Amino acid sequence: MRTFFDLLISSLLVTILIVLVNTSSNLIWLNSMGMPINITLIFKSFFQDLIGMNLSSEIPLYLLICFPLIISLMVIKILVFRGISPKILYYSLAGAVAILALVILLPFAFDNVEPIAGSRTYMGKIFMTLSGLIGGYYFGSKQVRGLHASN
Amino acid sequence: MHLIKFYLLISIGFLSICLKSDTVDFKYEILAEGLNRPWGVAIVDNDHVIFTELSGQLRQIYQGKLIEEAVKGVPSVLYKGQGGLSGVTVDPNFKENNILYLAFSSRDEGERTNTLKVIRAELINNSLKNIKEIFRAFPSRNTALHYGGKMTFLDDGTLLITSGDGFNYRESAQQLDNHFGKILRINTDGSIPNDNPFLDKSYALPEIWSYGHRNPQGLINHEGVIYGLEHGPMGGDEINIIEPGKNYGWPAITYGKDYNGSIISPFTEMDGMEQPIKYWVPSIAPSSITYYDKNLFSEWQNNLFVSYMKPGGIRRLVVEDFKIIKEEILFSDFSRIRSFKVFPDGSILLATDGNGGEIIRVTPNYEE
Repeated sequence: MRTFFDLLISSLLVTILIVLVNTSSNLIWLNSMGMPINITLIFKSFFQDLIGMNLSSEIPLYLLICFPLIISLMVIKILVFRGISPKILYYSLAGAVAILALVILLPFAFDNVEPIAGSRTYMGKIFMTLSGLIGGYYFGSKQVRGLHASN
Repeated sequence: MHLIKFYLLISIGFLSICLKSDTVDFKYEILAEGLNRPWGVAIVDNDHVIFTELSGQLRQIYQGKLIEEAVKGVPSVLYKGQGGLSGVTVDPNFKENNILYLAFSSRDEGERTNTLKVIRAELINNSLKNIKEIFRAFPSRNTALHYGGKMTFLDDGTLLITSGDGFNYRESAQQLDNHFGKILRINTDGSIPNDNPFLDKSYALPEIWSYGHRNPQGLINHEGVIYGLEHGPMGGDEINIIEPGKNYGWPAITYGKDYNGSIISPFTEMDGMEQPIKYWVPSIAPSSITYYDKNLFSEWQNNLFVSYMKPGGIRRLVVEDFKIIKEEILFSDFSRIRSFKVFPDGSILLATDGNGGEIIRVTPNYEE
Protein backbone atom coordinates (compact mmCIF):
# COMPACT_ATOMS: atom_id res chain seq x y z
CA MET A 1 0.00 0.00 0.00
CA ARG A 2 2.86 2.29 0.91
CA THR A 3 4.58 1.52 -2.41
CA PHE A 4 1.42 2.24 -4.35
CA PHE A 5 1.02 5.56 -2.57
CA ASP A 6 4.66 6.44 -3.30
CA LEU A 7 4.16 5.60 -6.97
CA LEU A 8 1.20 7.97 -7.18
CA ILE A 9 3.09 10.74 -5.41
CA SER A 10 6.10 10.17 -7.65
CA SER A 11 3.89 10.39 -10.78
CA LEU A 12 2.29 13.55 -9.42
CA LEU A 13 5.72 15.07 -8.85
CA VAL A 14 6.81 14.24 -12.41
CA THR A 15 3.52 15.63 -13.78
CA ILE A 16 4.07 18.93 -11.96
CA LEU A 17 7.66 19.16 -13.22
CA ILE A 18 6.67 18.36 -16.82
CA VAL A 19 3.92 20.99 -16.72
CA LEU A 20 6.54 23.41 -15.41
CA VAL A 21 8.83 22.59 -18.35
CA ASN A 22 5.93 22.96 -20.79
CA THR A 23 4.81 26.32 -19.36
CA SER A 24 8.38 27.62 -19.14
CA SER A 25 9.23 26.74 -22.74
CA ASN A 26 6.10 28.57 -23.90
CA LEU A 27 6.72 31.64 -21.81
CA ILE A 28 10.43 31.81 -22.68
CA TRP A 29 9.50 31.87 -26.39
CA LEU A 30 6.80 34.50 -25.82
CA ASN A 31 9.31 36.59 -23.88
CA SER A 32 11.77 36.31 -26.78
CA MET A 33 9.00 37.73 -28.99
CA GLY A 34 8.81 40.79 -26.76
CA MET A 35 5.60 39.78 -24.99
CA PRO A 36 5.36 41.18 -21.44
CA ILE A 37 5.91 38.20 -19.14
CA ASN A 38 5.82 38.92 -15.41
CA ILE A 39 5.87 36.80 -12.27
CA THR A 40 2.08 36.85 -11.86
CA LEU A 41 1.64 35.62 -15.42
CA ILE A 42 4.17 32.84 -14.84
CA PHE A 43 2.28 31.50 -11.81
CA LYS A 44 -1.10 31.98 -13.46
CA SER A 45 0.01 30.18 -16.62
CA PHE A 46 1.59 27.34 -14.64
CA PHE A 47 -1.55 26.68 -12.60
CA GLN A 48 -3.80 26.99 -15.64
CA ASP A 49 -1.59 24.48 -17.47
CA LEU A 50 -1.55 22.15 -14.49
CA ILE A 51 -5.34 22.09 -14.45
CA GLY A 52 -5.78 22.24 -18.22
CA MET A 53 -3.35 19.44 -19.07
CA ASN A 54 -5.02 17.16 -16.53
CA LEU A 55 -8.68 18.09 -16.82
CA SER A 56 -9.20 19.59 -20.32
CA SER A 57 -7.03 17.19 -22.28
CA GLU A 58 -8.52 14.05 -23.82
CA ILE A 59 -5.81 12.03 -22.07
CA PRO A 60 -4.91 13.60 -18.71
CA LEU A 61 -1.17 14.15 -18.47
CA TYR A 62 -1.08 12.50 -15.06
CA LEU A 63 -2.40 9.23 -16.50
CA LEU A 64 -0.04 9.50 -19.46
CA ILE A 65 2.89 9.77 -17.06
CA CYS A 66 1.67 7.19 -14.54
CA PHE A 67 1.66 4.40 -17.10
CA PRO A 68 5.34 4.27 -18.17
CA LEU A 69 6.65 5.55 -14.84
CA ILE A 70 4.87 2.93 -12.75
CA ILE A 71 5.95 0.12 -15.10
CA SER A 72 9.53 1.31 -15.05
CA LEU A 73 9.76 1.77 -11.29
CA MET A 74 8.00 -1.53 -10.59
CA VAL A 75 10.53 -3.37 -12.77
CA ILE A 76 13.27 -2.09 -10.46
CA LYS A 77 11.14 -2.94 -7.43
CA ILE A 78 10.70 -6.52 -8.66
CA LEU A 79 14.45 -6.81 -9.16
CA VAL A 80 14.81 -5.99 -5.47
CA PHE A 81 12.73 -9.02 -4.57
CA ARG A 82 15.02 -11.10 -6.75
CA GLY A 83 17.91 -10.18 -4.50
CA ILE A 84 19.47 -7.41 -6.48
CA SER A 85 20.65 -4.67 -4.16
CA PRO A 86 18.45 -1.62 -4.62
CA LYS A 87 20.04 1.76 -5.11
CA ILE A 88 18.37 5.09 -5.47
CA LEU A 89 20.34 5.56 -8.68
CA TYR A 90 18.52 2.62 -10.33
CA TYR A 91 15.14 4.11 -9.53
CA SER A 92 16.28 7.52 -10.71
CA LEU A 93 17.49 6.11 -14.02
CA ALA A 94 14.29 4.09 -14.40
CA GLY A 95 12.23 7.26 -13.95
CA ALA A 96 14.38 9.09 -16.50
CA VAL A 97 14.16 6.26 -19.04
CA ALA A 98 10.39 6.04 -18.61
CA ILE A 99 9.86 9.72 -19.41
CA LEU A 100 12.47 9.76 -22.17
CA ALA A 101 10.69 6.81 -23.77
CA LEU A 102 7.36 8.61 -23.37
CA VAL A 103 8.46 11.83 -25.08
CA ILE A 104 10.27 9.97 -27.85
CA LEU A 105 7.62 7.35 -28.55
CA LEU A 106 4.50 9.48 -28.11
CA PRO A 107 4.89 11.27 -31.48
CA PHE A 108 4.98 7.86 -33.24
CA ALA A 109 1.47 7.25 -31.97
CA PHE A 110 0.32 10.58 -33.40
CA ASP A 111 1.94 10.67 -36.87
CA ASN A 112 4.99 12.61 -35.63
CA VAL A 113 2.85 15.22 -33.89
CA GLU A 114 4.24 16.19 -30.48
CA PRO A 115 1.24 16.19 -28.11
CA ILE A 116 3.30 17.79 -25.32
CA ALA A 117 4.42 21.03 -26.95
CA GLY A 118 7.26 21.54 -24.49
CA SER A 119 8.95 18.34 -25.65
CA ARG A 120 9.43 19.48 -29.26
CA THR A 121 12.96 20.73 -28.62
CA TYR A 122 16.02 18.78 -27.42
CA MET A 123 16.15 21.02 -24.33
CA GLY A 124 12.51 20.25 -23.62
CA LYS A 125 13.15 16.52 -23.90
CA ILE A 126 16.21 16.79 -21.63
CA PHE A 127 14.33 18.71 -18.93
CA MET A 128 11.38 16.32 -19.08
CA THR A 129 13.77 13.38 -18.76
CA LEU A 130 15.30 15.11 -15.74
CA SER A 131 11.77 15.39 -14.33
CA GLY A 132 11.49 11.61 -14.64
CA LEU A 133 14.86 11.26 -12.93
CA ILE A 134 13.67 13.36 -9.98
CA GLY A 135 10.43 11.36 -9.76
CA GLY A 136 12.43 8.13 -9.77
CA TYR A 137 14.79 9.52 -7.15
CA TYR A 138 11.86 10.39 -4.90
CA PHE A 139 10.37 6.93 -5.23
CA GLY A 140 13.77 5.26 -4.79
CA SER A 141 14.59 7.24 -1.66
CA LYS A 142 11.28 6.18 -0.11
CA GLN A 143 11.86 2.54 -1.03
CA VAL A 144 15.45 2.39 0.19
CA ARG A 145 14.56 4.21 3.41
CA GLY A 146 11.67 1.79 3.97
CA LEU A 147 13.95 -1.18 3.34
CA HIS A 148 16.54 0.08 5.83
CA ALA A 149 13.80 0.75 8.40
CA SER A 150 12.46 -2.82 8.06
CA ASN A 151 16.00 -4.23 8.45
CA MET B 1 -54.29 29.98 -15.58
CA HIS B 2 -56.07 31.05 -18.75
CA LEU B 3 -54.03 34.21 -18.79
CA ILE B 4 -50.78 32.19 -18.67
CA LYS B 5 -51.99 29.98 -21.54
CA PHE B 6 -52.91 33.09 -23.51
CA TYR B 7 -49.44 34.60 -23.02
CA LEU B 8 -47.80 31.28 -23.89
CA LEU B 9 -49.75 31.03 -27.15
CA ILE B 10 -48.92 34.64 -28.05
CA SER B 11 -45.23 34.01 -27.29
CA ILE B 12 -45.08 30.82 -29.37
CA GLY B 13 -46.83 32.56 -32.26
CA PHE B 14 -44.41 35.49 -32.12
CA LEU B 15 -41.42 33.14 -31.96
CA SER B 16 -42.58 31.13 -34.97
CA ILE B 17 -43.00 34.34 -36.99
CA CYS B 18 -39.45 35.40 -36.05
CA LEU B 19 -38.00 32.02 -37.04
CA LYS B 20 -39.96 31.93 -40.28
CA SER B 21 -38.57 35.28 -41.34
CA ASP B 22 -35.08 33.81 -41.35
CA THR B 23 -35.99 30.41 -42.74
CA VAL B 24 -35.48 29.46 -46.34
CA ASP B 25 -36.83 26.19 -47.74
CA PHE B 26 -34.42 24.19 -49.85
CA LYS B 27 -34.30 21.58 -52.56
CA TYR B 28 -31.31 19.25 -52.57
CA GLU B 29 -29.82 17.58 -55.61
CA ILE B 30 -27.02 15.09 -55.04
CA LEU B 31 -24.49 15.60 -57.84
CA ALA B 32 -21.99 13.00 -56.64
CA GLU B 33 -21.85 10.50 -53.79
CA GLY B 34 -19.61 7.80 -52.35
CA LEU B 35 -16.62 10.09 -52.70
CA ASN B 36 -13.27 9.62 -51.01
CA ARG B 37 -12.93 12.68 -48.76
CA PRO B 38 -13.96 15.53 -51.09
CA TRP B 39 -11.91 18.59 -50.14
CA GLY B 40 -11.36 21.48 -52.56
CA VAL B 41 -14.00 22.64 -55.03
CA ALA B 42 -13.80 25.01 -58.00
CA ILE B 43 -16.92 26.06 -59.87
CA VAL B 44 -16.31 26.82 -63.54
CA ASP B 45 -19.92 27.61 -64.45
CA ASN B 46 -23.44 26.41 -63.64
CA ASP B 47 -22.76 23.11 -65.43
CA HIS B 48 -19.16 22.42 -64.55
CA VAL B 49 -17.59 21.67 -61.17
CA ILE B 50 -14.05 20.48 -60.53
CA PHE B 51 -13.18 19.03 -57.15
CA THR B 52 -10.45 17.15 -55.35
CA GLU B 53 -10.63 14.04 -53.25
CA LEU B 54 -7.96 14.16 -50.55
CA SER B 55 -6.84 10.67 -51.52
CA GLY B 56 -5.43 12.09 -54.75
CA GLN B 57 -8.17 12.13 -57.38
CA LEU B 58 -9.26 15.18 -59.33
CA ARG B 59 -12.89 14.79 -60.41
CA GLN B 60 -15.36 16.66 -62.60
CA ILE B 61 -19.10 17.08 -62.55
CA TYR B 62 -20.53 18.10 -65.88
CA GLN B 63 -24.19 19.00 -66.44
CA GLY B 64 -25.16 17.52 -63.11
CA LYS B 65 -23.39 14.18 -63.63
CA LEU B 66 -20.14 12.97 -62.12
CA ILE B 67 -17.61 11.94 -64.77
CA GLU B 68 -16.81 8.42 -63.57
CA GLU B 69 -13.17 8.50 -64.55
CA ALA B 70 -10.88 10.70 -62.46
CA VAL B 71 -8.77 13.27 -64.28
CA LYS B 72 -5.58 11.64 -65.57
CA GLY B 73 -2.08 12.98 -65.06
CA VAL B 74 -2.49 14.28 -61.49
CA PRO B 75 0.88 14.05 -59.70
CA SER B 76 1.11 11.50 -56.91
CA VAL B 77 0.34 13.00 -53.52
CA LEU B 78 1.15 12.09 -49.94
CA TYR B 79 -2.22 10.93 -48.64
CA LYS B 80 -1.76 10.84 -44.89
CA GLY B 81 -3.31 12.66 -41.94
CA GLN B 82 -4.61 15.94 -43.35
CA GLY B 83 -2.31 15.60 -46.36
CA GLY B 84 -3.39 14.79 -49.86
CA LEU B 85 -4.80 16.54 -52.91
CA SER B 86 -6.40 19.49 -51.17
CA GLY B 87 -6.81 22.78 -53.03
CA VAL B 88 -8.07 23.45 -56.54
CA THR B 89 -8.78 26.73 -58.22
CA VAL B 90 -9.33 27.62 -61.85
CA ASP B 91 -7.61 30.40 -63.71
CA PRO B 92 -9.73 33.56 -64.13
CA ASN B 93 -9.47 32.85 -67.91
CA PHE B 94 -10.15 29.12 -67.58
CA LYS B 95 -12.73 29.12 -70.39
CA GLU B 96 -10.06 30.29 -72.80
CA ASN B 97 -6.90 28.63 -71.45
CA ASN B 98 -8.17 25.57 -69.45
CA ILE B 99 -5.58 26.29 -66.77
CA LEU B 100 -6.10 25.21 -63.18
CA TYR B 101 -4.00 25.15 -60.02
CA LEU B 102 -3.71 22.30 -57.54
CA ALA B 103 -2.29 22.35 -54.02
CA PHE B 104 -1.21 19.08 -52.44
CA SER B 105 1.17 17.47 -49.99
CA SER B 106 4.07 15.66 -51.55
CA ARG B 107 6.70 13.37 -50.04
CA ASP B 108 10.28 14.51 -50.60
CA GLU B 109 12.10 12.07 -52.82
CA GLY B 110 14.13 9.58 -50.79
CA GLU B 111 13.29 11.36 -47.54
CA ARG B 112 10.78 10.89 -44.72
CA THR B 113 9.77 14.54 -44.94
CA ASN B 114 7.07 16.14 -47.05
CA THR B 115 5.90 19.55 -48.12
CA LEU B 116 3.09 21.57 -49.69
CA LYS B 117 3.32 22.01 -53.45
CA VAL B 118 1.28 23.96 -55.97
CA ILE B 119 1.18 23.07 -59.64
CA ARG B 120 -0.34 24.73 -62.66
CA ALA B 121 -1.69 22.57 -65.49
CA GLU B 122 -4.01 22.58 -68.46
CA LEU B 123 -7.13 20.44 -68.23
CA ILE B 124 -7.68 18.93 -71.65
CA ASN B 125 -10.04 16.00 -72.30
CA ASN B 126 -10.14 14.90 -68.65
CA SER B 127 -6.37 14.89 -68.48
CA LEU B 128 -3.74 17.29 -67.08
CA LYS B 129 -1.18 18.54 -69.57
CA ASN B 130 1.78 20.93 -69.38
CA ILE B 131 2.16 20.51 -65.64
CA LYS B 132 4.47 23.01 -63.98
CA GLU B 133 5.38 23.22 -60.29
CA ILE B 134 4.98 26.86 -59.33
CA PHE B 135 5.40 26.69 -55.56
CA ARG B 136 7.04 24.43 -53.01
CA ALA B 137 6.87 25.28 -49.30
CA PHE B 138 10.17 25.62 -47.48
CA PRO B 139 11.35 23.94 -45.36
CA SER B 140 9.86 20.45 -45.47
CA ARG B 141 8.18 18.96 -42.40
CA ASN B 142 7.83 15.53 -40.81
CA THR B 143 4.17 15.94 -39.89
CA ALA B 144 1.11 15.43 -42.07
CA LEU B 145 -1.07 18.16 -40.56
CA HIS B 146 -1.85 21.84 -41.17
CA TYR B 147 -1.00 22.31 -44.84
CA GLY B 148 -3.38 25.13 -45.68
CA GLY B 149 -3.50 24.67 -49.44
CA LYS B 150 -6.32 27.12 -50.21
CA MET B 151 -5.88 29.57 -53.10
CA THR B 152 -7.51 32.65 -54.52
CA PHE B 153 -6.66 35.27 -57.12
CA LEU B 154 -6.07 38.92 -56.45
CA ASP B 155 -7.56 41.43 -58.87
CA ASP B 156 -4.12 41.91 -60.45
CA GLY B 157 -4.02 38.25 -61.49
CA THR B 158 -1.50 37.11 -58.87
CA LEU B 159 -2.21 33.98 -56.85
CA LEU B 160 -2.52 33.81 -53.07
CA ILE B 161 -1.77 30.47 -51.39
CA THR B 162 -2.28 29.53 -47.74
CA SER B 163 0.43 27.52 -46.01
CA GLY B 164 -0.22 26.02 -42.57
CA ASP B 165 2.14 25.82 -39.60
CA GLY B 166 2.75 22.07 -39.83
CA PHE B 167 1.49 21.70 -36.20
CA ASN B 168 4.91 21.05 -34.67
CA TYR B 169 6.37 24.24 -36.12
CA ARG B 170 3.93 26.82 -34.79
CA GLU B 171 6.58 29.31 -33.61
CA SER B 172 7.91 29.44 -37.18
CA ALA B 173 4.72 31.29 -38.16
CA GLN B 174 6.30 34.37 -36.55
CA GLN B 175 9.56 34.08 -38.52
CA LEU B 176 9.87 35.26 -42.10
CA ASP B 177 12.58 32.81 -43.16
CA ASN B 178 10.13 29.96 -43.81
CA HIS B 179 6.68 29.27 -45.27
CA PHE B 180 5.05 27.84 -42.13
CA GLY B 181 1.90 29.75 -41.14
CA LYS B 182 1.97 32.18 -44.05
CA ILE B 183 -0.16 33.46 -46.88
CA LEU B 184 1.97 33.65 -50.00
CA ARG B 185 1.63 35.58 -53.21
CA ILE B 186 3.14 34.49 -56.51
CA ASN B 187 2.61 35.08 -60.20
CA THR B 188 0.86 32.25 -62.01
CA ASP B 189 4.15 31.14 -63.57
CA GLY B 190 5.72 30.79 -60.10
CA SER B 191 7.75 33.99 -60.24
CA ILE B 192 7.62 36.59 -57.47
CA PRO B 193 5.57 39.77 -57.93
CA ASN B 194 7.87 42.78 -57.62
CA ASP B 195 5.63 44.49 -55.03
CA ASN B 196 5.45 41.74 -52.40
CA PRO B 197 5.70 43.27 -48.91
CA PHE B 198 8.94 41.73 -47.62
CA LEU B 199 11.16 41.97 -50.70
CA ASP B 200 13.36 44.55 -49.00
CA LYS B 201 14.09 42.23 -46.05
CA SER B 202 17.07 40.05 -46.90
CA TYR B 203 16.10 37.42 -44.29
CA ALA B 204 12.51 37.08 -45.50
CA LEU B 205 11.26 34.66 -48.13
CA PRO B 206 10.01 36.73 -51.08
CA GLU B 207 6.66 34.94 -51.51
CA ILE B 208 5.36 35.99 -48.07
CA TRP B 209 2.26 38.20 -48.18
CA SER B 210 1.14 37.92 -44.54
CA TYR B 211 2.23 35.84 -41.56
CA GLY B 212 1.23 34.61 -38.11
CA HIS B 213 -1.34 32.09 -39.39
CA ARG B 214 -2.07 28.63 -38.04
CA ASN B 215 -3.95 26.53 -40.59
CA PRO B 216 -5.79 28.81 -43.02
CA GLN B 217 -8.63 26.77 -44.49
CA GLY B 218 -10.34 29.49 -46.47
CA LEU B 219 -9.29 32.43 -48.57
CA ILE B 220 -11.54 34.55 -50.77
CA ASN B 221 -11.29 37.80 -52.62
CA HIS B 222 -14.51 39.79 -52.57
CA GLU B 223 -14.15 43.07 -54.43
CA GLY B 224 -10.53 43.40 -53.34
CA VAL B 225 -11.17 42.50 -49.69
CA ILE B 226 -9.37 39.29 -48.76
CA TYR B 227 -11.11 37.19 -46.12
CA GLY B 228 -9.00 34.50 -44.49
CA LEU B 229 -10.49 31.66 -42.48
CA GLU B 230 -8.26 30.21 -39.82
CA HIS B 231 -8.73 26.78 -38.30
CA GLY B 232 -7.73 27.41 -34.69
CA PRO B 233 -6.56 25.08 -31.93
CA MET B 234 -9.01 24.13 -29.13
CA GLY B 235 -11.05 27.28 -29.60
CA GLY B 236 -9.80 30.29 -31.52
CA ASP B 237 -11.06 29.69 -35.06
CA GLU B 238 -10.90 33.06 -36.80
CA ILE B 239 -11.97 35.15 -39.75
CA ASN B 240 -9.39 37.79 -40.64
CA ILE B 241 -9.20 40.53 -43.22
CA ILE B 242 -5.87 39.78 -44.86
CA GLU B 243 -3.64 42.68 -45.82
CA PRO B 244 -0.10 42.57 -47.18
CA GLY B 245 2.73 42.63 -44.67
CA LYS B 246 0.46 42.18 -41.64
CA ASN B 247 1.06 39.82 -38.73
CA TYR B 248 -2.01 37.83 -37.61
CA GLY B 249 -0.42 36.83 -34.33
CA TRP B 250 -0.35 33.03 -34.19
CA PRO B 251 0.89 31.64 -31.82
CA ALA B 252 1.91 34.76 -29.86
CA ILE B 253 -1.74 35.79 -29.52
CA THR B 254 -4.67 33.42 -29.78
CA TYR B 255 -8.14 32.82 -28.38
CA GLY B 256 -7.52 29.09 -28.33
CA LYS B 257 -5.79 26.53 -26.14
CA ASP B 258 -3.55 23.63 -27.06
CA TYR B 259 -5.23 20.26 -27.58
CA ASN B 260 -3.32 19.00 -24.52
CA GLY B 261 -5.21 21.57 -22.44
CA SER B 262 -2.25 23.90 -21.90
CA ILE B 263 -2.06 27.57 -22.73
CA ILE B 264 -0.48 28.43 -26.06
CA SER B 265 -0.31 32.08 -25.15
CA PRO B 266 -1.94 34.02 -22.32
CA PHE B 267 -2.27 36.95 -24.74
CA THR B 268 -5.16 37.62 -27.10
CA GLU B 269 -3.96 40.95 -28.46
CA MET B 270 -0.73 42.83 -28.99
CA ASP B 271 0.43 45.93 -30.82
CA GLY B 272 1.51 45.10 -34.35
CA MET B 273 -0.68 41.99 -34.49
CA GLU B 274 -4.07 41.95 -36.19
CA GLN B 275 -7.36 41.06 -34.54
CA PRO B 276 -9.88 38.77 -36.23
CA ILE B 277 -13.26 40.19 -37.23
CA LYS B 278 -14.77 37.02 -35.79
CA TYR B 279 -13.57 34.17 -33.60
CA TRP B 280 -15.20 31.06 -32.20
CA VAL B 281 -14.65 29.58 -28.75
CA PRO B 282 -15.25 26.66 -28.52
CA SER B 283 -13.98 25.66 -31.92
CA ILE B 284 -16.35 24.90 -34.79
CA ALA B 285 -13.58 23.47 -37.03
CA PRO B 286 -14.20 25.73 -40.03
CA SER B 287 -13.39 24.37 -43.47
CA SER B 288 -14.24 26.99 -46.10
CA ILE B 289 -15.48 30.55 -46.52
CA THR B 290 -17.60 32.11 -49.27
CA TYR B 291 -19.20 35.48 -49.92
CA TYR B 292 -22.75 35.27 -51.26
CA ASP B 293 -23.45 38.08 -53.71
CA LYS B 294 -26.19 36.49 -55.85
CA ASN B 295 -29.96 37.00 -55.96
CA LEU B 296 -31.28 33.44 -55.80
CA PHE B 297 -31.33 33.39 -51.99
CA SER B 298 -32.13 37.08 -51.74
CA GLU B 299 -32.23 36.97 -47.92
CA TRP B 300 -28.59 35.97 -47.90
CA GLN B 301 -27.23 38.56 -50.27
CA ASN B 302 -23.90 40.07 -49.17
CA ASN B 303 -23.48 37.60 -46.32
CA LEU B 304 -20.40 35.56 -45.51
CA PHE B 305 -20.78 31.79 -45.23
CA VAL B 306 -18.48 29.49 -43.33
CA SER B 307 -18.72 25.72 -43.58
CA TYR B 308 -17.66 23.82 -40.49
CA MET B 309 -17.22 20.32 -39.16
CA LYS B 310 -17.86 20.46 -35.42
CA PRO B 311 -20.55 19.21 -35.36
CA GLY B 312 -21.18 20.18 -38.98
CA GLY B 313 -23.14 22.84 -40.80
CA ILE B 314 -22.94 26.32 -42.25
CA ARG B 315 -22.70 29.62 -40.41
CA ARG B 316 -24.34 32.55 -42.16
CA LEU B 317 -22.68 35.76 -41.06
CA VAL B 318 -24.12 39.20 -41.65
CA VAL B 319 -21.27 41.65 -42.14
CA GLU B 320 -21.50 45.38 -41.61
CA ASP B 321 -18.42 47.62 -41.78
CA PHE B 322 -16.21 44.54 -41.53
CA LYS B 323 -17.92 43.47 -38.30
CA ILE B 324 -20.08 40.39 -37.87
CA ILE B 325 -23.39 41.64 -36.52
CA LYS B 326 -25.46 38.47 -36.82
CA GLU B 327 -24.83 34.74 -37.05
CA GLU B 328 -27.20 31.96 -38.07
CA ILE B 329 -26.68 28.19 -38.19
CA LEU B 330 -27.85 26.49 -41.38
CA PHE B 331 -27.73 22.95 -42.77
CA SER B 332 -27.01 21.51 -39.34
CA ASP B 333 -28.85 18.32 -40.35
CA PHE B 334 -25.86 17.50 -42.55
CA SER B 335 -22.74 15.99 -41.03
CA ARG B 336 -19.34 17.67 -41.37
CA ILE B 337 -19.29 20.05 -44.33
CA ARG B 338 -15.93 20.42 -46.03
CA SER B 339 -16.76 23.00 -48.65
CA PHE B 340 -19.39 25.60 -49.46
CA LYS B 341 -19.40 27.27 -52.88
CA VAL B 342 -21.78 29.40 -54.89
CA PHE B 343 -22.75 28.73 -58.52
CA PRO B 344 -23.02 31.72 -60.88
CA ASP B 345 -26.83 31.29 -60.83
CA GLY B 346 -26.82 31.69 -57.03
CA SER B 347 -27.48 28.06 -56.14
CA ILE B 348 -25.20 26.54 -53.53
CA LEU B 349 -22.79 23.64 -53.51
CA LEU B 350 -22.11 21.69 -50.33
CA ALA B 351 -19.40 19.05 -50.07
CA THR B 352 -19.77 16.74 -47.11
CA ASP B 353 -16.61 15.43 -45.47
CA GLY B 354 -15.20 11.96 -45.10
CA ASN B 355 -15.36 8.67 -46.94
CA GLY B 356 -18.70 8.48 -48.66
CA GLY B 357 -18.76 12.25 -49.00
CA GLU B 358 -21.30 13.91 -51.26
CA ILE B 359 -21.49 16.94 -53.50
CA ILE B 360 -24.92 18.51 -53.16
CA ARG B 361 -26.55 21.37 -55.03
CA VAL B 362 -29.00 23.44 -53.02
CA THR B 363 -31.69 25.63 -54.57
CA PRO B 364 -34.68 27.40 -53.02
CA ASN B 365 -37.90 25.43 -52.82
CA TYR B 366 -40.66 27.54 -54.32
CA GLU B 367 -43.31 24.79 -54.23
CA GLU B 368 -44.73 25.72 -50.81
